[in-house]
Formats: sequence, structure tokens, C-alpha cells
Amino acid sequence: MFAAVYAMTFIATPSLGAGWFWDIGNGIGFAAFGGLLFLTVSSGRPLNVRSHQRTGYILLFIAMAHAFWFLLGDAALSQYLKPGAPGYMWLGLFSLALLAAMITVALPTDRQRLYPDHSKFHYWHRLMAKSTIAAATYHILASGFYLNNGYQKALFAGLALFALIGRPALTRLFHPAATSPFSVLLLCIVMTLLFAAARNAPL
Amino acid sequence: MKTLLGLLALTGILVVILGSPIAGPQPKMGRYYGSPAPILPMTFAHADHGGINCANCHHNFVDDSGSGPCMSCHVTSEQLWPSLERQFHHLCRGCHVEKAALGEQGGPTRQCIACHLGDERA
Repeated sequence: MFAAVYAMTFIATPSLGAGWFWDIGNGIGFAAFGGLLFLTVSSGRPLNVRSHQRTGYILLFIAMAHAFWFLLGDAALSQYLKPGAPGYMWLGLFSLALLAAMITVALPTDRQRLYPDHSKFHYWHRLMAKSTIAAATYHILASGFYLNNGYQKALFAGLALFALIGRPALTRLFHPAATSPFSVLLLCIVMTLLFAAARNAPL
Repeated sequence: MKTLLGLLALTGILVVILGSPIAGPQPKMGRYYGSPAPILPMTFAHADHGGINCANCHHNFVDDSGSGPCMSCHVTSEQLWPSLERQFHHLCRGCHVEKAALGEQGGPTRQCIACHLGDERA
């Protein structure tokens, strides 16, 4: 899932980069997105709840790292998160806030207080996860750059849709118990560095 | 964990409002070039663009659509003003991206502050 997300950015313009700073920041964002898709398709039963929770927290902090990387490193970027900013930036912020909300209310104490009926928790958790992925997908596609061609955008949107709609079938392929949250973190770091290096390495 | 997330959210809001404490000089929003609403300052190093055909940017040289610098129309015209950001990102960044995709040096492709700190820096 991670590899597919990154691979699609390389289809049309593999050597197109925006400098180490920008490419690392976006590499972190793609890692968070790939992780969200992975977390979705690996949430079949029996679910290793502890691993799912920990991986969720790691992905939330990776998504936050993507936002803070740009906010702290580019003095002009904060203007893109103020009134008048383009919709895709608001949707990026929305997906981050929704991810944070989804994860925090899923902890046992809050979950039992908010959702006495467990099936309701499942319904809302899935709805929030799908909304987070949909908003993040739009954020990535509308901001363009690495995914600047129509067919690239269609493939990328198809991947996100496949992870959401094809989840029941995909969950049978993945074994949540075998997923270590720290291996996900390590994978995110390695993929981000490879992504930035491939776009900035001298030809 | 909730406290940490709350603190991070608060930090993010403060950075958006006050600006990054580590990113160097902050661009100042203002009514540049007679703009009807505050906009970011823009850098343009004319000398760096000597190899580009003048008409690529100065379309008014060939289509007789006006005179004077770009901003005299694109910022002050009621018709053009709403498209200012889209048009200039498309023209400037689009050209930079095309060059970068060909492996040529072509100016900033993404870094906002590289173009939006005002000409006083250049």
C-alpha cells in the first residue's frame, strides 16, 4: 500500500523535485496517507486492537509532522491556512483534525462513554476514517505537483477508493497481528527519505 | 496523550497566526500595487529571466491589451483581480516546474517564501 502511493507519484515526472526541504515534507505526507490506507485495509477480524491503536497514533503524529514541517520551515505557508486559503488546504487541515478526533475518541474510556452501543462506535469510526481518507485524497490531488497528470490523479483516486470499497476483500489478505507499529514508523521514515533522495539526487 | 495533542494543536494555531519562529523573515500581507485586498508580496528578479522570450510574460507587447507592468492590470482590474493567484502561479510556477521536469535550473517550484518575500530581499 505504501509502495503503491509513492509509485504513483513517480509515473509521469519521476525526477521532478522541489528541493530537499519540500520533498521531505511531502514525503512525510505521503507516508501518513499510505499509512492510513494500510490501517484501513489491515483492520480485519480478528483485530489486534493494541497494534491498531498504536499504529493510529504513530500515523497521527506523522501527519502532524507533515503540517508542522511546512508551517515551521516556510514563513509564507501559514497564509495558506488562513481565511481565503484554497479549499484543498482547508480539507487537509480538516482531515488532520478528523484523524485526531477519531483516534482520541476511540480510546476505551471515551469510547464506552460516547458509544454505549459498540455497533454505533464501529459505524462512526468507519465513517470518520472514510471521511479522513476522502479529504486527504482531495488535498493531495488538488495540490498537484507530483500528481499533475489526469491519469495519475485517476489512478491515485482509484487506489484510495479501492482501499475504502475493497476493504472487506483486502482485510483477508493482511494479518493485523503481524503488523508492528514500529515497523510502520520505520517504513514511513525509509520511504520518505527514498522519495526525497530520488527527486533530488543528481542525474 | 490528549494533553499533548491539545498542546500541539495550540502550537499549530499560534504558528499560523504569529508566523514561524524559526523560518526567518516573515512576509507581510499588504495592499501591494494598489490591490483591493491584502496580498502577499512578490519577488521578481527580472535579470534572472533574460533568456526567456519577453512575450511569454509580457503578452501585452503582442496582443495590444494594455501597457505598463503586469500588476497595473492584474491587480487593479476588477475582471483580472480574482484570478491573480491562479494566473501567476500558473505562469511563474508552471514555467519553473516545466524546466525542473526537464532537469534544467528554473527557479522555485514549490517553496512559497522563495517568491513571496518582496523585492527588497533581491
